[in-house]
Amino acid sequence: MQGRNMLSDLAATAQRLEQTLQRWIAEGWVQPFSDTAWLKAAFASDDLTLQSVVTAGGSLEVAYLAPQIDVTLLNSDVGAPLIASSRSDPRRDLPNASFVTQRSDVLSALLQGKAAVFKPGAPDAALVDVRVDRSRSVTQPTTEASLLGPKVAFNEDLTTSLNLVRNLLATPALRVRQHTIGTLSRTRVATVWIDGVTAPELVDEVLDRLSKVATDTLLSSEDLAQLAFHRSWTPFPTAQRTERPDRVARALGLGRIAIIVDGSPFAILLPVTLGAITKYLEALFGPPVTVIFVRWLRFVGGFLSMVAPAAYVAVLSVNPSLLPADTLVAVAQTRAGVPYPVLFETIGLLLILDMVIEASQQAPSPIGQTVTVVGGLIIGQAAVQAHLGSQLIVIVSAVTGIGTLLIPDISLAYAVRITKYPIMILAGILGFYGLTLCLIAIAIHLVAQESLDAPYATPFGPVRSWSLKSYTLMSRTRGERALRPGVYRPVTLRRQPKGGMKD
Amino acid sequence: MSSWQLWTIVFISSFCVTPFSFVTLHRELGGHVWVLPLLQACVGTLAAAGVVLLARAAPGASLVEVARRAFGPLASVFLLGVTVYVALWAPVGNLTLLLRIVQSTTLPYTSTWMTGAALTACSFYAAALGYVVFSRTTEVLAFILLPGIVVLATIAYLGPLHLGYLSQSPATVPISGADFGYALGARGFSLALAFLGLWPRAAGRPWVLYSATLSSVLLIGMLFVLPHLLFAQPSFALLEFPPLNALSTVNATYIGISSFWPLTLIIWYGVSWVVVAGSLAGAAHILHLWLGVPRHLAAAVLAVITLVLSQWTKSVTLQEDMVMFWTVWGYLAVVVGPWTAWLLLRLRETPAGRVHKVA
Repeated sequence: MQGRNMLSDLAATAQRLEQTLQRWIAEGWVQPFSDTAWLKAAFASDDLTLQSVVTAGGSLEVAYLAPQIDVTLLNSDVGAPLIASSRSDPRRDLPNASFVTQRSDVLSALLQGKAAVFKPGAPDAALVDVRVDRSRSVTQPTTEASLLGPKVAFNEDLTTSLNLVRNLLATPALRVRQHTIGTLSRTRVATVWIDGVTAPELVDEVLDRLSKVATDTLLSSEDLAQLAFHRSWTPFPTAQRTERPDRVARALGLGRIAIIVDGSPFAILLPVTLGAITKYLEALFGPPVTVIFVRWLRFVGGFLSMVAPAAYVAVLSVNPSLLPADTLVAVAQTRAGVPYPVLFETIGLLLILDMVIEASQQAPSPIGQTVTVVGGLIIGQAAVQAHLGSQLIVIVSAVTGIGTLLIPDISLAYAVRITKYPIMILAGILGFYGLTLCLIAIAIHLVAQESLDAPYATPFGPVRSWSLKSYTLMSRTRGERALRPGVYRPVTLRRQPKGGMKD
Repeated sequence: MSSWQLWTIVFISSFCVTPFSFVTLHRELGGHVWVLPLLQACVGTLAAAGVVLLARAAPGASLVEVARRAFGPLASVFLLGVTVYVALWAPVGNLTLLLRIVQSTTLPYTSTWMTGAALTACSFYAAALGYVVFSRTTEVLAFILLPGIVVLATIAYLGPLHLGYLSQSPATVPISGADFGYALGARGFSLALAFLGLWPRAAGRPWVLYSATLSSVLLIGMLFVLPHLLFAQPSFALLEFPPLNALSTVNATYIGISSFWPLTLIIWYGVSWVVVAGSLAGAAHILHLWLGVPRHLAAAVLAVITLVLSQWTKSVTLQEDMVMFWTVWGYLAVVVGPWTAWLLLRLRETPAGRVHKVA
């Protein structure tokens, strides 16, 4: 008796609710999804598909954006359960369905690759995730290849990228804060840091800057770096880009912050310093002595790529007396028949070299190698035979090109390639005097830069004795692993006990 | 930073700056070359004590603030003296000299206006960005240049070239008032250069002060002495008026080992930049704190003045007179001034009711 009364109460309550809902619909408080005209008006696009499905509970309307969905999933997760259902509202039988009542939620869901199922007169819409996965599989890094390190790189899918980072840092202290940037692109951006390691004020600063980004489309991490963290006309990179999850994990362990943008295979690391950006990857995996040797080799190579052409111009055009007489005669003989001033000869050949490097980077891999060989050897040799340049400038160009390739960061390599031209021009006018002043001006420019209040030229200016030692001489086991660089202002400086072993 | 660390900096930097001799004492001590810098370091350390004590007495305070606390209404006189000395030392003493060196060695057909403008513009760039940028750039330069200096100094002192610098020097130097005055002024100037802008930061970040002081003063000092040590030992004994003697430095490099002189010359460019940019940055910093002039505007005006004054043709006699004048001025501004300020500060700010122990 009592149970029957409860059932009748429930039925009465349901009836009252239904009446209330109908009244709200009549008064305009709730917009029923009975017609889908608003959806067509909102999209006005041919790839919006609307399908009617006849079920036991009546005719339903299924909406989705065709390019965004997987047809197989649509049939198995939406079509089949609806047809098989015997309920009055078959949508209740949809697996993993969520129900929304706002039109804006439906629009966002459709853009994300979900299907929306409407029942005439119902105040809500069922959403089922049937998005198609067209992201690349995880592949090897292309711009940061490593012989000894992991062979894994980010891809364009944010979830996959975050998964790769979390696999390396399996700690609950790893924090991920997601944002949506771009009024049109609605790009998902994730800020990642380790709680208790990264300085809270650093995190606040990054989150604040991201929240202030106002743009319609955000399609790459480079866009975000330019919008949020690049404040001057400097050619030097003020954000470090990497496609390696292991590099991101190491940076997070040092107290830095990573930003990953959906649709971009590169993460941004902040703050950035010259020491961090010039540290080559193999240093993380090789034996200490090898690391020190290669580190210096790369440092000297990178420096030469910037200075060698200018020194060549300065010596031959302004300060020939710097060379011993025998050498001077030998050099003069190599230039016999070259009709141009040294400065024009050098700029011309280096421009060709830069074109070759650029072409080899743009072309597919096998063609790229061919372009490099053709450009480097054949054009150089032809230029010498045609008396358009001396043999010495071919050697200088080769040193410059190889030195550029030794620079670990591609953005920094571009900056060096650009800055060598003004140095060369000033060296052509004022010799070594101009060259020295130009280098000093570059040094001033670098030390004046800051990345989230961290001096950009660290550890060279201001000198950080420990970092400098670690960068130039000490091994990775003793130097780099023991402490975190203070320039990132980490919450705790020490990473491991002395010696790296438990008591 | 403790007082002892500061004293050590002063001593080391003084040890490395321009040779200065007490002829009698030098002779009594056997005429060894290393005696000269040791003596000058002692004198320089004592003379510079005023700056050190003042910096220690008012940690975190700017020079302008300390001057006002010490001198009261007369602070402007002290600040004017320091500013004029720091601002004009570069064109009068250094830029003119460097441009003559550049013209006589590497760029004989290039206008000194062009070479001067290049260095002044480069110096202005750092000065306009502030003293911190200047000091950091100095550190970068030191990182690049100091290894070269160390190599040259090692060669010079260890004598693999059989130059024998640890042996007795061939001649002794007649002492003069100019030597004495310049030595004191130079010490004070070097310290003032390092301290003026970094003063407020000294309490919190002593390593910035430490490295900037060491690198700038080491560069200035070593580069002045080194070519003489390497290439022309006799001329080392004839240093009297440092700016003029710098020209003999160049001559010394000419007659020395030719493959070395480009290196020393390049380092000279770096050192000259340190001095000119440091003067501009320091003076602009004081003017900014003292009169509220925007830093970049002050640096721009001073850079133009520097360039114009560097082109002023001066006779040798006038140059000698100017050296004497600036020696006295510098002595008053950065040796006597800080000492007086420190004493006044102690007198004015001794806590009331403080009781001295009585035996």
